[in-house]
Amino acid sequence: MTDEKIREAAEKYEQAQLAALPTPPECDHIFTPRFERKMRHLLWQTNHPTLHLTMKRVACAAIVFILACGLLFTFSSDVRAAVMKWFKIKNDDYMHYSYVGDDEETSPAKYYLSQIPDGYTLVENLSRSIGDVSIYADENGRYLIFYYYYGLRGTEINSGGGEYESHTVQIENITADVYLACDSANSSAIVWFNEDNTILFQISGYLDEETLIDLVKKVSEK
Amino acid sequence: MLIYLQAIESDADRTKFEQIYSAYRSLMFYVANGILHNEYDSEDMVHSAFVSIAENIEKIDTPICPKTKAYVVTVVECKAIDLYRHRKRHPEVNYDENSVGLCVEYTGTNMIACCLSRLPTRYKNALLLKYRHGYSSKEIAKIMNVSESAAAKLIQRAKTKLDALCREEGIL
Repeated sequence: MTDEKIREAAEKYEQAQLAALPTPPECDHIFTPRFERKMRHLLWQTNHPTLHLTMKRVACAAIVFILACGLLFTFSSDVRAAVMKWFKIKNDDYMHYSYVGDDEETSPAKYYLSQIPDGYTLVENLSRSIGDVSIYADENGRYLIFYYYYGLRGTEINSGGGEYESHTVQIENITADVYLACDSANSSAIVWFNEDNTILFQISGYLDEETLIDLVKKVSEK
Repeated sequence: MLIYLQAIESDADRTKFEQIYSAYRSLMFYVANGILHNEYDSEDMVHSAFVSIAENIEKIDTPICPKTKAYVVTVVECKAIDLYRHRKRHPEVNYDENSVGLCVEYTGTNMIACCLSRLPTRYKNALLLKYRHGYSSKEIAKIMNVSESAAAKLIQRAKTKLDALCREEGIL
């Protein structure tokens, strides 16, 4: 059978098909707002093809850029280090603090608590390469510990856990994480970074939230 | 003033696509709903058909004419049947490829057209798109939501089936 014969037959069939179609009143239908909305969008696309194509290209470029940044950020510690030093990741019940930047200067600033709660006395000062620790104790032998960690590549700390209730507080220009022990037998803690995210501070002790926050304000540079 | 503005919009300023949309959307819904019996799905298929029409808008010379009317009906029928075929994979739907779609009884003198009317709807639509509207296998594949090779095979099978029907009728 030739294509020409099929073409002729298709034309004849189409005429019969058109004759069999209903008249406009018979197929009157009120379309839903959902359909009207979709069609308005399609009509806009067909009426503004260049603008639509440009917008699509811009959106694609934006997605590619975001994905590329995300991949770089995920897999390159150098990129992460460029925008952050100390950072935290919530890991199940624990908060994981990690340092990804280059090692900080060899003679960094020293810090101390300019005021401590009544009843506590300094027991020991430990100076380590990753930071210093000041240990205080009260008459009952309960410790109050002030740590600070310099940025040394690979330093990692875990805080919190199932036995702690944690939340974030704003203390002047410092954002700190408070870990309050659910059981009075355990000590509570507060963790924060310095302005440049290069030093992590931690105070832990058998203290309430208000006292921990007050202690943050008492941290001074030597 | 309002009437004047409306007159401008309805004549010169309206695009070809808008004219087709305004003129045939209800008819297209009627065709889709006749196959799917579900208003929600039918509206989706009308939208899907308009997406295909928009992609091939440059092939339409005159928006309001019998040929365009037949074309939009064929496209929406393809879309509705595609959804119907998809549902075939689900046991609650009873699918009969030969009976689904527009039922047109051809009573004219062209015997090949008579055999064409007896073809399953998908075969018929593939031949109409190719031989009446001049679409390529690639374009038909897009409208029918199949691969290009599947569309080419479909056209070939449709021609073979038409040929067999014509032989049965003693036309060839």
